[in-house]
Amino acid sequence: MMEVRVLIVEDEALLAMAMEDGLEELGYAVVGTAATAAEAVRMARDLNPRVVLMDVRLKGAADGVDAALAIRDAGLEAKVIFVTGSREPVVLKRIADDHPAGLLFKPVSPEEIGAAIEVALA
Amino acid sequence: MTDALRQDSPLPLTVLAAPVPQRRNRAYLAAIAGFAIFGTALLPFADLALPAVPEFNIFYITGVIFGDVSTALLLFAQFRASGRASLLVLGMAYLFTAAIAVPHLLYFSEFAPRVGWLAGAPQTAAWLWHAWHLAFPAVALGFVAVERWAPDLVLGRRSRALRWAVTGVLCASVGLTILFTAFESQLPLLHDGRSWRPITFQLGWTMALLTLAAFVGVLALPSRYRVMHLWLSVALVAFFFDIALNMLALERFALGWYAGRMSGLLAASFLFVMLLRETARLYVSLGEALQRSSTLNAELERRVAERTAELRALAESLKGAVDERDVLLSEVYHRVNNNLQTISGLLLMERRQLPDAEAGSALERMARRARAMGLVHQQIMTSGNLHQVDLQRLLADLAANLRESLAFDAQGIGLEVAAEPVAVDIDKAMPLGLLVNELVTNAAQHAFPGRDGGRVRIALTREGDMLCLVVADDGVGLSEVPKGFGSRVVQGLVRQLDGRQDVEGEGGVLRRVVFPLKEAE
Repeated sequence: MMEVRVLIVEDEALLAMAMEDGLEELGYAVVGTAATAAEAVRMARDLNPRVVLMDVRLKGAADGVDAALAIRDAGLEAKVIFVTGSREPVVLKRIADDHPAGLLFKPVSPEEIGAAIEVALA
Repeated sequence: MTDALRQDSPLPLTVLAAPVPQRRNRAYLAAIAGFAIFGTALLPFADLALPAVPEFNIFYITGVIFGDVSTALLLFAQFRASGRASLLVLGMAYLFTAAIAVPHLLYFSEFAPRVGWLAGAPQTAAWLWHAWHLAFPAVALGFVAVERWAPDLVLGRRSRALRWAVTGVLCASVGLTILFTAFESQLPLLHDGRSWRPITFQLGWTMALLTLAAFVGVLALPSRYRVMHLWLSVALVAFFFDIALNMLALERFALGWYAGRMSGLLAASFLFVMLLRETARLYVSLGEALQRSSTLNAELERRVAERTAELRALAESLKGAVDERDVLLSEVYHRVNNNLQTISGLLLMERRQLPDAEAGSALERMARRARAMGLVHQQIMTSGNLHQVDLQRLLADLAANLRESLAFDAQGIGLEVAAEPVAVDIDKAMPLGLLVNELVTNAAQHAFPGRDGGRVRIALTREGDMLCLVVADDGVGLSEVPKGFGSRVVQGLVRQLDGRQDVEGEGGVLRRVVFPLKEAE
């Protein structure tokens, strides 16, 4: 079975590291971690991951939803799974507008992320 | 409301029954005093002979009839409006004087019938005058009596009462006229053509005393400062001088005879003038009151609008402050949550570096505890009021999380949650979340050694003010009382919940924790 390539978009370095570790252990190939929306879009284009784990709050003006929309507009195949710490209605509404492949709320275990990835790719 | 409209009796208001402000009743009392002084000054000269002008009497009586009829009509109108019995009595007095003044005028002049039993006799006019001047003060005393002892007497069928009163008065005057014409010869002589006879003085003093009694009676009334009382006292003074001057004139066409009749005319027309004046005054003050009340209304509306706007602004700013606080609080929870996620991630990363399996699973447990705390924060952020956590949702989320991180599916372990929707403060939610995390982890790690699967059940029910948490498995049960770090954590959390627990170790472990819904005060 081919390794599933995953891009992590998360501006907190330790959190990104922990997710990377956990996913690697579960057998996923983490191709990179991005901390800003622009970086996320660029890396999604360059690295061609199958799954993007997208935090909503990011460094800089643009947030994860902006990045997800840009990725889709660029015609990329990557499935976007949001991993957010916020449940504010405004944010949830914007996420829903993007019709993501998955939505997880922090705190989240690597196993839960793995399960969501399987659902998204099924 | 103006002074004239203020009413201290429960009776319906009439102009006549309206109280007079102090400033004006002093003016009326001054008028009485002035009248008394002027009249008294004339008394010594009452017998001064003056030229005979019989037409003067026609002028005088015409004036009296006009004044008395008008006054009677006004009093009756006020009676119809208010039903006050005293007004009816007074109206009768005036109607009677007007009714008896008519034959008096006829028999005094040359218009009297010359034939039949109504034919005038020399004494007829004088007798009519005396009846008139006796009846008026007598009925006025009746008015005083009603005002004193039955001031609140209000008659019911007013039109009927009025009809009877008018009929009675007219019959009385007609009856007296017949008496003084047909039976004139049988009555004592009042005058010998020009000069008074002694009986005139007896009758005169009686009238004067009755008038004075009525005057004193009015002034002694508890409610004397009303329009009709003040007016009546002036009228009675004038009436008194009508009688006194006439008596002291000793004969017709003397100074007293003329002056007395002038005084009588004043007495008759005084109320009429006064009533017009009071009505005009009342009309003006009513207009003013209406205008004031409309201004007042506008002012009131303006203030209400102002106050409403103030309150609305205050509510807005309070809402703003609350919103701001909520944003801040939400931000804090968000950060705490993120930090807990980071800690949990770090612990897991650390664990992977450890060769020791025991140490690794300890770090894993720590990571799960941090995540459980994070889940409670996650719930409170979404609770709407940032204070309370819905335990049904918390337990569902927690179970989903544990199912994944403890790999229940892979081990064939089922995890069921049955919780009632109960909202509790974060002080309760946090230890409860950790407790469930701990108990489910224990079950996963100890209940099913060497088995292919099993079942773990979480139940939360509310019983009044108490909550009951059950975590049960169908595993191997307890062979000995658990000690160790895990059970100390459980005991600590139960204590924090102010709860007590009991454990059944047969056929799996069933742990029941009962704790109060709210913190004890």
